[in-house]
Amino acid sequence: MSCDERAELLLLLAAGALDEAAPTDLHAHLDTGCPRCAGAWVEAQATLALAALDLPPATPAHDVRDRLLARADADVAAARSPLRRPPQAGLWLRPGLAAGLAAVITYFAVTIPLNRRHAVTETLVAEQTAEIADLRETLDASRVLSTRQAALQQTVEHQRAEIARLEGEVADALQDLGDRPVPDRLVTEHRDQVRRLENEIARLKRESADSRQLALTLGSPDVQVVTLAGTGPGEGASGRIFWDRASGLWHFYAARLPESAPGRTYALWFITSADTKIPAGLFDVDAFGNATAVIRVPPSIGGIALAAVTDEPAGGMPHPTGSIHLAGRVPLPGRDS
Amino acid sequence: MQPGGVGRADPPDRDLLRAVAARDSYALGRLFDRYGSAVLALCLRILRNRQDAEEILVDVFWELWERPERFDASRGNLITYLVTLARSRAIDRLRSRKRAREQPIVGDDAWAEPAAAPRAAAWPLENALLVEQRDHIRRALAVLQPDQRRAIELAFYSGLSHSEIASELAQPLGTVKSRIRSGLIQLRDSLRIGYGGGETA
Repeated sequence: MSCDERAELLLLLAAGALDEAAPTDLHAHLDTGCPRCAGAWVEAQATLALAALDLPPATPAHDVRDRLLARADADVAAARSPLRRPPQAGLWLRPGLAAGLAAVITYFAVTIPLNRRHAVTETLVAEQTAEIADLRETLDASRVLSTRQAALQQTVEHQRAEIARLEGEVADALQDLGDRPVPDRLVTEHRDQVRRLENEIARLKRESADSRQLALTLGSPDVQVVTLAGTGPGEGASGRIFWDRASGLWHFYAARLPESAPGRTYALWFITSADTKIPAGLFDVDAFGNATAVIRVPPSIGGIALAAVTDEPAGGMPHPTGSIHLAGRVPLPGRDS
Repeated sequence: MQPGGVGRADPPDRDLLRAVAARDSYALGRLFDRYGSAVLALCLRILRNRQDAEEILVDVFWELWERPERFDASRGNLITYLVTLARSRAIDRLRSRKRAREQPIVGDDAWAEPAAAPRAAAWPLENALLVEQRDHIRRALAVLQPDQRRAIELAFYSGLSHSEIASELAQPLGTVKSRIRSGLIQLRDSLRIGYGGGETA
């Protein structure tokens, strides 16, 4: 048989349209390393694979990807576990008929059902590991906010002390002056300073209350975490959305986004299950590329499949026009991404 | 002002595969996003059952995770490898289902996307090059006669033998073999004209 004839048979083999006896001969010939037939085999498989791409793409359910990646992460974690011990080779070096029979009996009586249970257990472990990873991320975010909250409280206390000190100075100054008239300018300056400090205290109190509320929110079981990955010009950036379904709010955080060009800003988008892109809000980043925002999710929006951040002209656009910097899938209720 | 549309840096397959081999699950996720919908479509076409199809989908990408070294770039691109692997496993599942006398191939509606499953946007996660390829593939398939295409589909997607295809189509065995052979050659030559080979991305 010539290689040209084999090329046609290889095409039939790739399509699954060859009689059972023929593949053995073809594979044996391929094993000889024939370059023409090796190339023909590659082309045959590619032809059928490309033809299969004509099928309309099908979207996997959200949890399919999650399960796969959770399993991979669990696999990595297991490989790093200090509890893993190498197999003790010595145990296998004692033949003995009784030991051999015992191994066979054990295999048929125990191992097969254990393998089935192991597969289920493995899946459960992977899911639990993924859940623990999500909780740790939420806890880390919560700790960051708690730390910030504590810092704000300290600042509030400092400002109060500063006000008390200034008020004390004012009182002392008034006492020293006695009945002497106090220059209006001096009184006005002190009053202005006290007023500024009181406003600052009020602002810090509001921030502290917000942080405290957010810390409580993050700990709620009704909060879902959406992880945003950097892409394109946002490669290296990251983001997270804490979706408090009870209150219908997205608490959005982003880090390491590039500074917007003059006349441009960032836009966050809801992307629905029907592929509709709805503006969620605009934001700018600080000197470190970080940003936060609290977004109200419209109650009538329906299913949200994706969240994304693009850069847009200042003032925003009704539809995305700029480059995607962050994107992430929104999991179904009860799951995190 | 930046031009509209999607702007993203898509690493080529070889970079993502290298990362997968280094146990980077993020890279696995990127490959899943890039090719998962095409692989699932093939599995659904063969199995006509979403649960089974998604199981095979996971199996295929898990195989890629566990044994990335089995993909040999000198023997074709990654999508070819994934489709070939997926087809093989899906056909095996189909045949074992038939052997176990499980529920036969159900109607088309049963494997359609359930209403609750959200349609992920082609933007931003689908490989744009894959989208362009589909137009060329569609033109190549349009050249086939309906009888040729039907026979090839029964062989490729249903794993039927020539005899079974002949029975299914109520045509002589020799006619079926001839149509499959000529159709595949025509398809190969059409696609060969349009592609110079190489990596998808």
